[in-house]
Amino acid sequence: MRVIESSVSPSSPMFADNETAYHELVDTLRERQQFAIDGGRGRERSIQRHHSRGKVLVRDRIDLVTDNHTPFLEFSTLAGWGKYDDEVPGAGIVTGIGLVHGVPWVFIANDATVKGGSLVPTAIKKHVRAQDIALENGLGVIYLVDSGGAFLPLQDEIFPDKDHFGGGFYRQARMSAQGLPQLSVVLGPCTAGGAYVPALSDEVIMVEGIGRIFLGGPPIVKAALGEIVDQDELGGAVKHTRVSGVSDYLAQTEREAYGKLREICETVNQRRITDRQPWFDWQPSEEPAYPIEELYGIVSADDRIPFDAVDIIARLVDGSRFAAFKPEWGESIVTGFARIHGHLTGIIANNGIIFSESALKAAHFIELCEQRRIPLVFLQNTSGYMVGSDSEAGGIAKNGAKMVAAVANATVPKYTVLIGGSYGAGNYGMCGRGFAPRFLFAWPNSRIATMAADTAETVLVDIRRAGMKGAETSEDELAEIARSIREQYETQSDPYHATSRLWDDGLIDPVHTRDALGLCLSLAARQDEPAPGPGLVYRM
Amino acid sequence: MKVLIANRGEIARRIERTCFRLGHDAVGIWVEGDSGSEHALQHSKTVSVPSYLDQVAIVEAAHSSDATAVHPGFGFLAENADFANAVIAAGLTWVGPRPEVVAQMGSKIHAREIAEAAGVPLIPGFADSQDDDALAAAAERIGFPVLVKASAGGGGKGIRIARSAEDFAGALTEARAEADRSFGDDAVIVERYIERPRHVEVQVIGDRHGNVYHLGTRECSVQRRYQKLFEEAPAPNLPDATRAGLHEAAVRLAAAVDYDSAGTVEFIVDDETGDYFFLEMNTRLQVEHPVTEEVLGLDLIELMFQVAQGDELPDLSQVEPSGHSIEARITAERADAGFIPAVGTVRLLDVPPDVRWESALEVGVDVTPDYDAMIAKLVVHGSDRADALARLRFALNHLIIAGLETTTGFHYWLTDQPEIVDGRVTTRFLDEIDPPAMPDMNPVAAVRLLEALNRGEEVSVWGSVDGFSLTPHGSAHVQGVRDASGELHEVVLGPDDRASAPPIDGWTASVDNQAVAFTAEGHTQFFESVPRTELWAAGASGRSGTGAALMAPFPAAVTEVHVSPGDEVVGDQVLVVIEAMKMLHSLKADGAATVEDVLVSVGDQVTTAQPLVTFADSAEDGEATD
Repeated sequence: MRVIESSVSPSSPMFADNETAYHELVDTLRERQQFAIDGGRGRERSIQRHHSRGKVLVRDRIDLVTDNHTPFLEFSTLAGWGKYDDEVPGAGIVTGIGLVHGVPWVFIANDATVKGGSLVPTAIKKHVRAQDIALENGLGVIYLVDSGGAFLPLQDEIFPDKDHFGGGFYRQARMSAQGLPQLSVVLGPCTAGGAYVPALSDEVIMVEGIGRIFLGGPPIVKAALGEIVDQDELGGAVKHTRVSGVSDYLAQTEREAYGKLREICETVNQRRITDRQPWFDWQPSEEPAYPIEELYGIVSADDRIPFDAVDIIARLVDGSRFAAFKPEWGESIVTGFARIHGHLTGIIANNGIIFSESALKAAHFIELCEQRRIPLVFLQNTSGYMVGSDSEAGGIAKNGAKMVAAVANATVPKYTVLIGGSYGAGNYGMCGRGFAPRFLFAWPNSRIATMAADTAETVLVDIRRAGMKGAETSEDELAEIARSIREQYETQSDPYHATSRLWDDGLIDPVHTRDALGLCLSLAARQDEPAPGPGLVYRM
Repeated sequence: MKVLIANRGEIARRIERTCFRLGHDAVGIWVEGDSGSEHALQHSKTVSVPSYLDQVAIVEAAHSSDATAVHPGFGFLAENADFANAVIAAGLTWVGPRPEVVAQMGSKIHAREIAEAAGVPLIPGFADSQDDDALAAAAERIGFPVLVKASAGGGGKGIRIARSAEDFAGALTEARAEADRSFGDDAVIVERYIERPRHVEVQVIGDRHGNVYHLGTRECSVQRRYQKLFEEAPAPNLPDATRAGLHEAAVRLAAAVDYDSAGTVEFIVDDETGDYFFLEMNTRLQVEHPVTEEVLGLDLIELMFQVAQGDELPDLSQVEPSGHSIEARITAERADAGFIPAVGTVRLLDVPPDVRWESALEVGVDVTPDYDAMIAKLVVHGSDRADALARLRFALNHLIIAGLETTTGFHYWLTDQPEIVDGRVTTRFLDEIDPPAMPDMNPVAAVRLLEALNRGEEVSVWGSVDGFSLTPHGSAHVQGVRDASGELHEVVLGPDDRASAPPIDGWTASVDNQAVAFTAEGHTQFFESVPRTELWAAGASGRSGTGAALMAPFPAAVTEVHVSPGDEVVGDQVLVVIEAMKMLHSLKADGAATVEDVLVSVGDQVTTAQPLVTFADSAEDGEATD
């Protein structure tokens, strides 16, 4: 593979302007993530109270369990952003992947400093999404349980539907059956439905004095049976470890529990992160030839000014080496092979509008990677498929459909990063959330919507004008319609709106993209080769 | 000749060295469980025996390995006349003095009689009568100050000093009362009290052709509980007459018994008067023989072989010491904690060049309480005493024995003490000083060093992106370390703590991927990483879960149990006596308590922090005190 010759000039004024603008985006991202970690009304006091009970904060708990010198890949830190009156930062739950004795695990950990760890709808969504990540990537799950249970005022959005709380238990039971270990450490209350998280686990550790499990707490027991019992007598760690057998191990302290947990993790016989399987093409990693920080200066501050996907790729891949596929045809999609932290990948990146040729090239390339068992990485920055009579006459609908069908049916691992616009069917063809990429991350400059706000304004005002059928409509009214449409589109295409709703697995600083993709790719490398997909009916 | 070396550790290795130089094959013995002893000899095979004291097995080992001679080293069977006889009876050459001499000198009373007959001065004393007046008259005759001590004595009980005739009656009454209380016998003896006693000894060697030579003096006054810690040759600051007198007296005594091997005659020297008095004779090679060898350029073990084979010694009457030699006898003990025994596994060992290093320590060897606490001898030779001291100080500062507590830091401190520098140490020196606290290094620094030098494995991206985080939360690293005393420390390092190596002013750090040894002023502080599973294991934090209990401070065997359940005990009452490294240690109550349970009995082997006695509703914890 040859080194990309990037034409970016870091000394140009535009580069400097872009960089300044992007630093602001990153600062905002960090501030908002910090808010999720320890912000919010009354949070300081609840953190103090947590400490005063001798309890460890949720992210510190994960640090105590995971291997030194290895990262924790946290998902959807900003889930719930802007929702629930900003009173449930991070949705009150932390999920991510960390190594224990070299084996990757998904962690699902309640944050008891956020509404006592009670589960709002977004928390359930985050919980279930983390389980789906575990299932798809062949990872066991460690549940650090410290939750007051379902957030009852919103119980109808938590309890009954397919991917609500029941779906979490369904996944847990099925993962356990598949040999993906499910381990629980009970560090707080597990009431009612919450009791099933440990109860459905393969092994359970309870911490004396803080961990409690019961289907009904003392008030419910009193109401139902008239029995008066204190909570430790009802469902404390000693009771469940020595009498009921709901728990397998008793720990005096959190740390003792984590020592035991790490010991259990030595006995699960799961593949380590270094146990790469032969189908996966890997070689030792090489740093990119261009500094990754230059991404800040490349991404245009003005989203009407395009930037070249090749310049982005040059800063993400090993040695900035890229074997472009079909580079002189369908140039609005860049396709080619490169390595990310040593993992051979097929990269598909947009340079703006998708034309028929670009769509066909992309479909061709996806089939190549599927045939060769090479994972796909999508870098989305498109305003969608080309419209217009020439385009329609050229069969853009069927050609775009080929690309969409190829993506949908590719069985090799797929990863998507929104590096710019993700508009219209471009989102589909470029492996948007609906196409089940294993991980989907977004940059804080990204936008996601059926169409850009400008376009939406023009289109919808025109429709409205047409709908008036000559009736008098003041330009003021039209201006007001235009303003509200623009506002709706701008709000809803904002990446924080998206990440709040788990349309992605997290907003990431562009300089983290290479490492995040590398971490995710390495998870697939330890799995068996996915079974090849079926043959497709392509509309020719 | 093929020599069976009936010993272990450093002396076995030392004897093997001479054997090889002289072209004698060697064979060793080892006892299972004595870590490293199977390989104490570097070039010879070893035969397993049940015990280093098992005479029959050792003679059998000599036969089975076709040995023709037995060298006993020191300790164990070196001064056992029965063993010497058994060796000779088995047709083997005994590399030591004739058994009857061993027996004669092994009896203190007999040895004093021989010394007296040979005109060797003994400490003036009187033991002929218990009559008050006779004792007082004897005191006058001997000259004040005098010691009044229990004749059944031991352990410092029943001893009083009378500095004048007026003091004498009171001292006598008190000594008798205490003797009676302690030993049930109020008989006392009176002898000269020496204010500033020094322990000076003379190396002698004789052959079977009537030759006996002295090989100069050694100063061994730095002692604790009769264990020497620091020895030198020749003894400094002796008046010429005293030195000559010591040489002659030693030769006279050895000649009186036709001494026919290497031996040592020990004396007390009065530092104020230069008077000297016979103490005892050791009929064997001495631990501190290397200092004599260094200044004379001789190999005492070679001379012992020559004599044992019946050869006549070369003329040694004119040998003169050249320069000065000092030996630091390094033990596995905590000098700053009353010399309690230390145990552990040698994890790092770095011996500076240009010293004589007598040791069988190797990385991986376990130092256990089963054998002597002495683990190594560091010997230097200088052009004069000051030069030798400077060399020793330098060497100690660069010596690293990591994995267990040792006296190297204490020895380093010694080299700087005015009494040592002046060469005017008495045998009371160590009783009169408090050993210094050792410099203390922080476990955090250890973990930071391990972190700095021990990055993640780069075989996976997960190991090569240390510090990566999608959020402002930077992962903390959690590392447990265990210090040489077995104490566990948890260190949590945030991302900033990991950015650089820690400042370690004044310390030298040696690091491997699992352990750090910090060295300063001769003292090594060791930390080895322990997995979190172990760090946070139930009960790892000490007393939790066992209630208030008396715990064993180190691994040992229980030799006495003085309490049973229900007993009311008071502070300072001895509850259990344990033995480790041939030393008895009394474990006392720290305050009033009721014994709930006694968990051990005599003969039990116990480990560090093992509960021995538990107390019911005790307000105060029992604490082990030595």
